[in-house]
Amino acid sequence: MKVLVMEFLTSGGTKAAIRFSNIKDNLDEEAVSKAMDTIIAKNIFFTKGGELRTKDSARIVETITEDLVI
Amino acid sequence: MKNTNNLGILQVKKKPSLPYSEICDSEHDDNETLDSFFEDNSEVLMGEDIDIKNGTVEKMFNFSKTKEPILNIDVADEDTYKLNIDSKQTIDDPLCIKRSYKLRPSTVKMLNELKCFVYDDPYIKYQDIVDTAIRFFYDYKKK
Repeated sequence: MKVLVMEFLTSGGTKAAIRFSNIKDNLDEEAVSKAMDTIIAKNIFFTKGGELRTKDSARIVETITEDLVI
Repeated sequence: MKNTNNLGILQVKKKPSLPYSEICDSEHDDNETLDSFFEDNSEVLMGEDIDIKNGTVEKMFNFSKTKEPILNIDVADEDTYKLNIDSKQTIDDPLCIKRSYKLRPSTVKMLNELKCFVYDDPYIKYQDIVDTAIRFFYDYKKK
């Protein structure tokens, strides 16, 4: 399973992250950047460090889960 | 012979760096709070239930390459132009000279207020504000 992790910097200088699962395979930097810009512009999250202010980084993490038949 | 190590010099002992788990165990007892944080202290706003601890990073996008100062001031304020920091100028003409001065405690309080409440932005540093203030005062006196 692929997970997109977006990391933002808050107005208080702390980092805040949002994780999305079931993402598309062909996600590129531009698409992720635009999505993060929209999240910042909409200003819908409030964190312990204040409002989301700027983009810090994003990463796509792949996790492998193996089901064991018992 | 006297020990000269303490003559007017404040020595700061560095704390040994600890793994994140050890720091958390010693500073926080609330497991619920800990669960909402990454290893690098990010607060997780959404997708907290998605476990990525054993995952491998396939792609990494870094958006904070340019630490350009971003202003966050009240544009309706009449005095806004006085506090304006030109971010391009800051980058072209970097703050690279170190100087040390004594200030009145009330002035330090003013500087803190400027940093925390006027320029409520993680990229605006004390040195940006001091540099701008001196330039503003210089222009004012030269008029």
